Amino acid sequence: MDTQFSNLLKDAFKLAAKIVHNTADAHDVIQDSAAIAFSHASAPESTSVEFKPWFYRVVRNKSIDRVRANQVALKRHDNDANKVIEQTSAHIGNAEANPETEILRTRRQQNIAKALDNISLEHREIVMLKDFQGFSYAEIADILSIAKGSVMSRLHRARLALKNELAALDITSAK
Amino acid sequence: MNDTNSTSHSNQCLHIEELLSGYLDDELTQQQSQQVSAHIDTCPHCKQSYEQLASLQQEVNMMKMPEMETDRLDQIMNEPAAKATQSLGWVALLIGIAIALVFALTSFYVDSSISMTQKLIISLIGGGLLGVFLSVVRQQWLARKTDKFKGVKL
Repeated sequence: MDTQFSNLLKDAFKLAAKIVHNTADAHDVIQDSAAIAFSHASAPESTSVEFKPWFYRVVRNKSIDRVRANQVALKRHDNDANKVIEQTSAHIGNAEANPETEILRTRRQQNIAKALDNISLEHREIVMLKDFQGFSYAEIADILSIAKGSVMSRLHRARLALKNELAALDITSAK
Repeated sequence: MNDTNSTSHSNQCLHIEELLSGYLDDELTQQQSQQVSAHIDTCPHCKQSYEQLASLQQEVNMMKMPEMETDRLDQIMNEPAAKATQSLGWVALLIGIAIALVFALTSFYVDSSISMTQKLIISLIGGGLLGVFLSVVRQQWLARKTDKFKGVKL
């Protein structure tokens, strides 16, 4: 269970970081969520199939609580958002090979990260859950506490918003 | 899909457009799936939309994300054991204090060398202090429970 659980924490951290926009708070969110998983009476068995979506629901709700609490200190929030982007860029920057294609690829990946940060929280979380974390529509409905029938339309709107945001950023960065 | 193109679209394109994400994620019924597949074979515009969605999905999937710090991960993974040890420590400590207290109080009240007046005065002081302490604890506890800013770091 240990490796499985720690991998789950690592993956869920990425969702939390994308929702709360900074790594320090994302660590706290994961710590709080893990404490709930360890102690909560209604938590499903950690080896069951229901556990992962259940845990993501806890992480998602805790992240949103944190976003609301942080709205008191908006300035810090903005600074940290840049920090996440910088960290992400640093990761990408480490990649090897052909400088020119590498620069283009890096710029594209930076723009994707930035576009994802720029779209609404509602759109960002659903794109993360499907395209990054790979959950099924049924699991996403469970995590977000919405009807299964709403997942496809919300996800589609989110992808279009991301595509439009990305197009705008690609135009700006090509100038 | 942008607005300039959608005006030239058939109603079928609009209907298919809504299903493209479901098709990409393999979440459609067999009938819907066949409908989308047949449509994008004949409609270059919807085919292009589909391909754009597919490549965007792939790019998001390959996105580099900040990783969790190993120290924090270890700390969380070790928490249940640490917590159990800590609770055990507290339980042992409280049992010890309770036994010592009962023992001290019994020997104090049965001691015939201390007069009833002295016992009464000391009991009142002790009881008073305990009362004040408990009311402060209760107040702090209530304040903690209802403090809506406790999660806010400034």
